[in-house]
Amino acid sequence: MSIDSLDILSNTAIETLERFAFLLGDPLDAREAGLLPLPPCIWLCALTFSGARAAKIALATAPDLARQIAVNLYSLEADEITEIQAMDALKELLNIMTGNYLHALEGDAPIFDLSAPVLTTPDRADFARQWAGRPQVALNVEGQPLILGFGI
Amino acid sequence: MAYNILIVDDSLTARTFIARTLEIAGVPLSHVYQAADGQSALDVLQREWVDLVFADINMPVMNGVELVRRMRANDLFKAIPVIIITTDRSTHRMNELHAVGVQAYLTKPITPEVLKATVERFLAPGSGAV
Repeated sequence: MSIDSLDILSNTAIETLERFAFLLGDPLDAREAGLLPLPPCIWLCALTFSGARAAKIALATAPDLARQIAVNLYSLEADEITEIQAMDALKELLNIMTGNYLHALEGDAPIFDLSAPVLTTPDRADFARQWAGRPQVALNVEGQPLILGFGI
Repeated sequence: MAYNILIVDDSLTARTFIARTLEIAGVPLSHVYQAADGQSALDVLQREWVDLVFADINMPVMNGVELVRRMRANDLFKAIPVIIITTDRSTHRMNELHAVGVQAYLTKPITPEVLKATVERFLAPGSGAV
């Protein structure tokens, strides 16, 4: 995965967060990412795409950010959002981010098939083992970390 | 005139987002029906009057392309406009959808302005689309 494609992923993620979830995101470099650690409980959402390119793409964040996304999308108060709604909001966010990323990378011509997103809840240690050395980008989304990576 | 709209998507979040965006856009709504797949959408169409359908492509049980095929093969539903809302922007997929009778194609995330313009294109008095 080239640095260019990671930049495209970062930009499309920020744009999707703003347009779909009404949240502002900023890229984090490695030092900044260390200052904004993921919580002990992580929500990891992943899907695979195939076609002109094929890979698994994953999004990791704190449950609190998923709930905030759901609050914005459902127009409900935070205490009214169910865990199912928050998880579904995160899955749909990844689905849209991936579609926008592939379009930005490859244009209109190729067909991609996207699998349904799957959400798991690894602990931070498992997550760190899985993600070590993987191509990834980190964002600060209104004070919460959000990490996107490939091939997890 | 207020419209009956059917939103078909396996994601509850996507359905809610589209319904909310219709409200924000000021589209006059009588009822907004929701279905999680193409088969459930056909069940809604059997029992409710629907003016326009928004549908995703990738869904379990019955996908959006098959839903449109079944609608176009049914005299009761074949005139109902179908707008696909999806993340897939490939020209090949777009051509495939037009071939089965999809009227328009929007990519996620949609904006209120685009949604309103699309609804008016097909349902506003004088549009001649239905």
